[in-house]
Amino acid sequence: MVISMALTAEYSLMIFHFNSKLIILLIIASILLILSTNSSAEPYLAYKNNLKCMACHVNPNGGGLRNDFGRIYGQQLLPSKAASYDTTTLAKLTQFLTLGANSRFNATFQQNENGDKSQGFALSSTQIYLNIALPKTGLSFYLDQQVAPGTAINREAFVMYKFASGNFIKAGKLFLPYGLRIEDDSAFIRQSTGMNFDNSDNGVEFALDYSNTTIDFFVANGTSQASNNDNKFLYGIRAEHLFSNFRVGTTAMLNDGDKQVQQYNIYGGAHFGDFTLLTEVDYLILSQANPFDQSDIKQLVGLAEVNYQWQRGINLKFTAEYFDSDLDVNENQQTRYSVVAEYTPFANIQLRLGYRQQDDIPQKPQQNNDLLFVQSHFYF
Amino acid sequence: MKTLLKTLLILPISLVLLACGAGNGENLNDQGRPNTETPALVPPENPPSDPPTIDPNIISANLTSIQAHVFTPICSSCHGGANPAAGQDLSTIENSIANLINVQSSNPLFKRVLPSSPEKSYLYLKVTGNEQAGSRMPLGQPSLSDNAIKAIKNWITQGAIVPDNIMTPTQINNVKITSKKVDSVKAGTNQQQQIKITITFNQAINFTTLTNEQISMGQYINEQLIPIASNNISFNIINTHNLTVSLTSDLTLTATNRRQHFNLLLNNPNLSTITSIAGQMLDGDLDGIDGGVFSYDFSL
Repeated sequence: MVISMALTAEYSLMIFHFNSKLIILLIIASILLILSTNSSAEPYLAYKNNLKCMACHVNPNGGGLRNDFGRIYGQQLLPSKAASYDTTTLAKLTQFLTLGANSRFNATFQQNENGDKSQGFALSSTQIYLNIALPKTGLSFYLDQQVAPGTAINREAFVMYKFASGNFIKAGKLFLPYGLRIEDDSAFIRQSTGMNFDNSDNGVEFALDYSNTTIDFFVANGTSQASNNDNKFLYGIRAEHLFSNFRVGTTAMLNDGDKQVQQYNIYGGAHFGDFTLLTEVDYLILSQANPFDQSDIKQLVGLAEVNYQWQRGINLKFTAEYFDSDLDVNENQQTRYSVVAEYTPFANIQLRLGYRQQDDIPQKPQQNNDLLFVQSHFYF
Repeated sequence: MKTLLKTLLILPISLVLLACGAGNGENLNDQGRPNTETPALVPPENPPSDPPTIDPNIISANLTSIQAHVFTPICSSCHGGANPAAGQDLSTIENSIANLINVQSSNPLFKRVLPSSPEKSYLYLKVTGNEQAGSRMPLGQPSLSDNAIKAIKNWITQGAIVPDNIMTPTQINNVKITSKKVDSVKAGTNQQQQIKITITFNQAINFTTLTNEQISMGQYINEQLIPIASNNISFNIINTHNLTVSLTSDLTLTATNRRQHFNLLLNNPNLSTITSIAGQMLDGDLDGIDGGVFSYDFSL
């Protein structure tokens, strides 16, 4: 049902042509999954558990520092082998001061249609998180600082006040709540919308938080990490509701200015046994963005992802992405397919092996490339 | 049973996910835009200081070439569009100039591009994966080719020169005509024809430089151009790039059963000239040189 939302009429109208390599990979993966007799009930994170992001993360919108439950989940439930230690004493310096970290180290091999190859090791990113929660006030200060590679870059720094009702307000530099908060910043839905972990903004967010529903209202400069360059702002609202085994959300955003940008999406997820499905479809209207005749450009972006928990600690992820950079232009679509195996042998370390194929029009050979990567992800 | 359910679930999903393919690029240029969006410009009399690359497949150490080969096709997928990463829009050469040269980077030690100093330019450090600049660009994509990196380095070393012809001539690149018949309240006429001409400029226009006198129209009658009274002509500014000119003509005064031929004149240099918001004069006659009257014939 949720998948069908992602695969809109646009999809169905497209010319079907299959990628033999990926089909073979997926069939092999399917056979492996079918043959597996050791599947467990390990959930795929929040969507699998039907929990809100704030169940595991200090930041209610997800990502970054984990709270007590998230930390225990990462130690006891996520890995193949539960930890025999508890990092709480390390993470919680005091009852009110908490530290955390993420670090990703990659080995990659890439090749584009021109035959250009690149390969090597790279420290992808390392973040340190800090949260100071003042006792009995509902007030906290949250810091997300990228410390490597290179010089430190602040990603988030905000003050948050939580009301007794669960509603909260944040002010400062923050990632705006928008659609699925997937980790891969290069995904089309994150890249084309600019709503990713590389692109925070300065603003204010207010959220109404009910048991199964969260509604976020936000206002920001609309200039990403830069200061406001006009008197106009970015306005947005996101609403999300959790049902028994699936959730649906929607976001509407207006970045005001000389050239307005409107962004709308619908997203959701569902879980069926060991499968967790995620999907998001974005529709963007970029006013006067066509440099030729200053007409508006309308874009459609989609992502559909299937996660299969093969065994405890092993998750297989299949992702299909679609990007039409101008709905008024034919045959300009881009696609990207990924197959990723995530293995968490023990607490605080996850290994990822992935293959990703990105296809664009033949006139852009640089954008037609294959990527093979191995990633180690340390989380704390 | 469980195995069967898994099979039924995963195989259809896998096939559906693979059902979409990239576009075949038919009738698109190397930027993924329709070939029809290439304006037919008259070559300027004076060659620009930043000559076009002879082989379009070879990247050169000038901004025009770097824009065409790197910034637009690769960087602007993130640094462009709805919400450019780091507020740094590289989708057009004008944006690249505005967002790169002598602009402070996120690292206070570096400008994004410091002319003549590639090693102190964040852009160069970023594309070479220098530790001081954080994640290597392009993020999540293959590194730029050696030739592309070399071109960027040499362009910065040579002073990050902005081509003289960066200021693309301010021109009218689209005219759209619509007309409709309306009932007239004027005595002696049965119907009137309202003609609406939508004019699109390729640059943002300073419309305070536009006056009623700069717009004139005429109608060809017996091959003679007869001026139309200015009080029948009005204009409306839609936005910085679009203008509509409206004309109301009496059908009883014209041969309604034959095609009518009109002429629109804009930007008469004998009066004054329209300028872009950057102060560039409108190249009305499309000769690549600022100034000149825009004359447009059309028939209904």
